[in-house]
Amino acid sequence: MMKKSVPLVLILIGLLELSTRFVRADAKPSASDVIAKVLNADPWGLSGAAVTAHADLKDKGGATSQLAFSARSRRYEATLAKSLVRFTAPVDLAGAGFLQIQKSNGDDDRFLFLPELPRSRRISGNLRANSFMGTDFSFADLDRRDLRESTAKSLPEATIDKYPCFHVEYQPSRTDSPYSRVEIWVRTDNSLPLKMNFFDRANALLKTFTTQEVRRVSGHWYVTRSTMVDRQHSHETVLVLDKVEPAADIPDDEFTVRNLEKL
Amino acid sequence: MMWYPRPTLLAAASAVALFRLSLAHAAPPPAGSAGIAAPASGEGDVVETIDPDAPNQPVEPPVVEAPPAVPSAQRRAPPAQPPGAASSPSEHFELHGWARQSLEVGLSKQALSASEMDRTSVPYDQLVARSQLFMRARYSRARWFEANVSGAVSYSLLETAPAHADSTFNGFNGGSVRGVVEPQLYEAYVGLFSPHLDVRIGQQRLAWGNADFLSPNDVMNARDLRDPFLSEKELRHIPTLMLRADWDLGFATLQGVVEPAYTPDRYDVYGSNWAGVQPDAPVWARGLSNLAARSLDPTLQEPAQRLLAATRYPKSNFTAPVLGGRLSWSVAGLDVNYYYQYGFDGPLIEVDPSFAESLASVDWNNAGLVDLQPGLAAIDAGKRPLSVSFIRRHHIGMDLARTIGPVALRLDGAYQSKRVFMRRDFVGFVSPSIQGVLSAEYQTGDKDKLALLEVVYTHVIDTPAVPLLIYERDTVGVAADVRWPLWRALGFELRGLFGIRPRTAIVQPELNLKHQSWVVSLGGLWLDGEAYSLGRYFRRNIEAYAKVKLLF
Repeated sequence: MMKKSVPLVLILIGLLELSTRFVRADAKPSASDVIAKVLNADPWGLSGAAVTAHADLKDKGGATSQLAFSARSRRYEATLAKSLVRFTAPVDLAGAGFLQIQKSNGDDDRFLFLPELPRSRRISGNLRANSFMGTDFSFADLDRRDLRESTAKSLPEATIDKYPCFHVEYQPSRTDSPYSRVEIWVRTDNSLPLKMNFFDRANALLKTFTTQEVRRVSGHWYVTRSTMVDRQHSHETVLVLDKVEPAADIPDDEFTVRNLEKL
Repeated sequence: MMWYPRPTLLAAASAVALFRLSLAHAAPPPAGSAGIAAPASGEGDVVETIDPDAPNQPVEPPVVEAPPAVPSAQRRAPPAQPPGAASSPSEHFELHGWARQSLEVGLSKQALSASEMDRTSVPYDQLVARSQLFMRARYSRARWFEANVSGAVSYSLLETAPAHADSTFNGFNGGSVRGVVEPQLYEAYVGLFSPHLDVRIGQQRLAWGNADFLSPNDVMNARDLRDPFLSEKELRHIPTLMLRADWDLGFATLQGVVEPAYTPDRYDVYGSNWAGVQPDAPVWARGLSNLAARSLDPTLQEPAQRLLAATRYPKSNFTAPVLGGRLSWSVAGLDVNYYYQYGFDGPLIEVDPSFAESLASVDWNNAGLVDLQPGLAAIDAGKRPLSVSFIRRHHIGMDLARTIGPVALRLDGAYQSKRVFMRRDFVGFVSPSIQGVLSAEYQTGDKDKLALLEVVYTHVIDTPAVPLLIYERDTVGVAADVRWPLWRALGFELRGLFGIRPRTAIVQPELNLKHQSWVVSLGGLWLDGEAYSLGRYFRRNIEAYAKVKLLF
């Protein structure tokens, strides 16, 4: 009796596994699952990576400027990270450093080091609607708090340049978010956002984010070239990750004010 | 109850695991699958380009068995460094700096009494042109070594006001012109870092405190007071030779500092626009300074400032070090620093009463070196008719900083066991003092777009016999700095100090035009106030100026 039962049980378990796999593959993930996957994917190398990047800024009159920086980050909780950014351009920011420690409750800790002072200063964590160093990316875009703290709903799926995407709209929960809602198109295969439409508090289209290049580095996918266009001020920023390396082992003691003041 | 022997159960589990593995290999999640695939791992690097203008078309839910779509734009990327390689940053080198040309035109007129016949008049530079070059090089290796060197060289061309007080200055009719070349080494230090201990040794700037306009705890470096409003921030403090160690305690950082020798503030005593001896200084100070200046060759005027500034510096043979300590921590968004320094303050000017009496009787308009004979005789007799010294004192301070909404709030407070003030009769006065600065800064995330307000309070604990210069026993003022963009690259900055007690006002509006690495500034400085207040005492520095700065 026992000998007959063992193969039967194995077959049953196998069938069960097979069926659950097909059910799982066929099931459409919920909007919040998609958002969680985007957060986990770390498209810009902001939690557990070393990045060298530059941003080309262009204003309405066509005047251009460039911001260049290197950033190192460490994920210290599931969706929370510490990051340290050092600027190399423009020249009036060269040598400056920016430390951000994301918090699940309360404002993030942010410190700015300016070499001409030279000291680090805590800067407000409540600048989320403001531009990050003159770019079209706001502090809110970088801290990803709106992704973490939002309600999301699925919209009809779509493709962008042949890439099937989940189409989700999320509404930030925090009142200090500059956005009333954000539409996001997320690649189904690697969870990278290919497009985002940001709507201001009056529900007018404020900014559009598009991805032009993605790169898989050591098995991790990153958005390596993207554009944020401010539709209301005719201003745009092209963000290029010149070099990105996944790095889960950056020591925690790098993300301190003491270290911010070093080169 | 059914019972399976342990090997059978193990075999079943292994079979399930193998089955899962085989499924995973046989049918990898295709691109385009509706399921969320985990990012590929352990494969070569790939770059894909995306046309963001491609229309968004609603699609039917893809079928899971569909073959993986290989994007046409997909290509192999050059191999990346292995993960974790970035955790050991190698070498960094930075070389930055600026070149600046400024032109200041004084708008004050010489007082009628300040004619060439008035030997108590104070020289006034109506035109100041400065060319400056500042460079800073930083080198770091991995995370354990850093070297910093910075320096500046400047050339100043100073043209005094017309010799005749009733002449209008046209830029070419000044009484005299002199040029000053000044090379300065600022920072020169190396840092050795370990995860819990940082050591820096050499000439360095150590900024303590949070406040901007007046920082009570920023006492580890001397100040350069020769051009307090127009000089660049990097040049307002003088880096000092020190050994500094920062020890990470986990919950806090403890800093210890040893300066083997004290470096006093740098200032001019006489002859320049921001010198200590101003038109409202006592007659004897103006007359004596004037006599000393007339007795010197003009080319020696600049080096003579150091001799005039101090007669008794603290010893620099390591027997009179400056010691400092700071304990810093952050909790719940509040940054706290405690400071202690065993240092010096000064200069303390002391005038022998008999010498003061002899000075009071001098007719300065007809005075010569012979009139200093009583003072020289006193020196010969081992007395100190006029001495300038620095006194030991304890400094205890703290600051707090936190942000509330878009506003950063800071509180700096300090107690000094002995602080040197200047009385209106130009004699030093020593008293314990308390100083506090409450700051509120509205931040936007852009360093050229902010509004800062600081309330400054100073209390002199002892009562001086003669009223103080600049200060009262309780001095209260409000400082402000507003920077705001006006139109495209054009910005505006307004700095000001408004004294409530004593009443005074210093206002410095400035327009800035930025284009790439260039900054062109036009501005003005206006000062006034009640007698012996800061604005009134330095009132003749009302001026208009232009600056061109190239950053690199």
